[in-house]
Amino acid sequence: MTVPARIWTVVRSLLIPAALLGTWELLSRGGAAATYAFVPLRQVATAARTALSNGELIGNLIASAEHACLGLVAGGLAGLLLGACLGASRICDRILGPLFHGLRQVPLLGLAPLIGLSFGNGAGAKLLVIALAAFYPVALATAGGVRNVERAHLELGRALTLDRRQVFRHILLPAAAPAIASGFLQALAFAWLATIGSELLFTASAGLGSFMQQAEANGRMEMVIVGITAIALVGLAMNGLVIRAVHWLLPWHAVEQK
Amino acid sequence: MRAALQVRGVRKAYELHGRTLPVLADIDLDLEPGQFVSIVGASGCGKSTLLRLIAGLEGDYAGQIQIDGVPITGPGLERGIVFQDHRLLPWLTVADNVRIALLNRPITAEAAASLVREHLALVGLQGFETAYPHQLSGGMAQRAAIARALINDPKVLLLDEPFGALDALTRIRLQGELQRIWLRNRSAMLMVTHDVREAVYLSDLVIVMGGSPGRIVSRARVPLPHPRDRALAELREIEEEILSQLIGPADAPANPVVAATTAA
Repeated sequence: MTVPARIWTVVRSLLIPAALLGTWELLSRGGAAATYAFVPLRQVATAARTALSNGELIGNLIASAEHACLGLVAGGLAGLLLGACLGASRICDRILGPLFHGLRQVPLLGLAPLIGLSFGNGAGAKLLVIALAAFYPVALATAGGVRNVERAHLELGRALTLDRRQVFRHILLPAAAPAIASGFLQALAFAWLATIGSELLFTASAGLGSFMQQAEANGRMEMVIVGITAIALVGLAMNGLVIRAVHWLLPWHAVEQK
Repeated sequence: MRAALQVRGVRKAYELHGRTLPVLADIDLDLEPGQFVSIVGASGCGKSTLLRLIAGLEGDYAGQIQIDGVPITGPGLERGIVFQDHRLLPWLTVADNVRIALLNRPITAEAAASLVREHLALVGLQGFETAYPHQLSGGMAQRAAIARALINDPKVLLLDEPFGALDALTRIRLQGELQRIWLRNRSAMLMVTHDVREAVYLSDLVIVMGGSPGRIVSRARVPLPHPRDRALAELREIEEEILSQLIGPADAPANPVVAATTAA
């Protein structure tokens, strides 16, 4: 892409957000009530500067990102393991499949009371919620990816006298890798959502959810908006990172898509 | 001389809706070391099934299949196989696709690397080591598949319609390549094909199979030295003879499965 074309792409992607911001600013000038609902942008900017300079925003942001990553890794690995079993072994699918698909139907919020009762409402409960959020999409995607391996490739493995472990490592896993990657991308979005949700639900410790809850309690609408913006930006950044990681890990897949 | 491959009285049948459908009846076949043998026959005559039995990819047959005097018990590295589709793994580079055949060979990484290099050179793919399969043409992908099948220096190379998916010109070019590779490598070759001209051009012996159930109808020797000129008149004569056997009066459906399903 040429440089002007790239600039134009960026400008185009900013058009609608800019229009929304303009509308917001206009609405904020409609009297005291409107100023409370639609905080003037300048006030938001001042709040963002304050939160940034006193380290409050960054500290909470790092705490949240840490929770999300930890949950994503724990839940993702567990999902990978179960998904591989479900996809590769028919017996495993028969025994664990119904339980898995049944539990999957219960929304995470519906599990919150149960988790609160059995794990309290501290760090452990939070991590469990985030890990569960990441677990389901990765398990589903992995099972699907492993199940959809080409029979011809499995037959090649037999002709080359590969044993079960080698078939798994050299054929099943790479065949499922693109599906697993998109499972992880989805899991990331869910984990991030669950991170903020669990911070709002369970006892506050550091995190963007607590940051916003505190701002809400103090009637600091502008700080709430700073929090929301930070959540969106961190989510975008993590998404971008995972996409990069996928391209780096699966070069053949990235080239195939072009 | 002991046969590289010996097939004795091999019979196979499939069960279909509680009925037994014989696919192969009393197949006898010998392959001497370094010999090139082709099997031709109409679709459904069981020639691919026979090849898959020899490859160890299908079991449940009566009779004996021996490699170098040892009965086979499943797939083995002393038999290489080239499928009609190249079956390269899309997530591996060309070099890694060839190297994967060495996973169960107790050799060092350096020895493996030099074997891979040597065999890629043999099939004319040097310079494409780091390419991915989707970046190759069909002919190049099939060359890589041949390198993968030859890297374990098999006693018998099994080729299941190896050029069937290629365009006519690439097919002719690869037939020449296969002849050159075979003359250098001297594995015994057993090729299943539809293409009588291809079979006659490459083989020392062409086996003609007929259907319902699959059996060997005739064997035609091609007593001409290699490498051969495609345009030789003798080749045409043998080809015509085999074709007349294949297309001749026996116009019955070759495949009982197909016949049964179309009748139903």
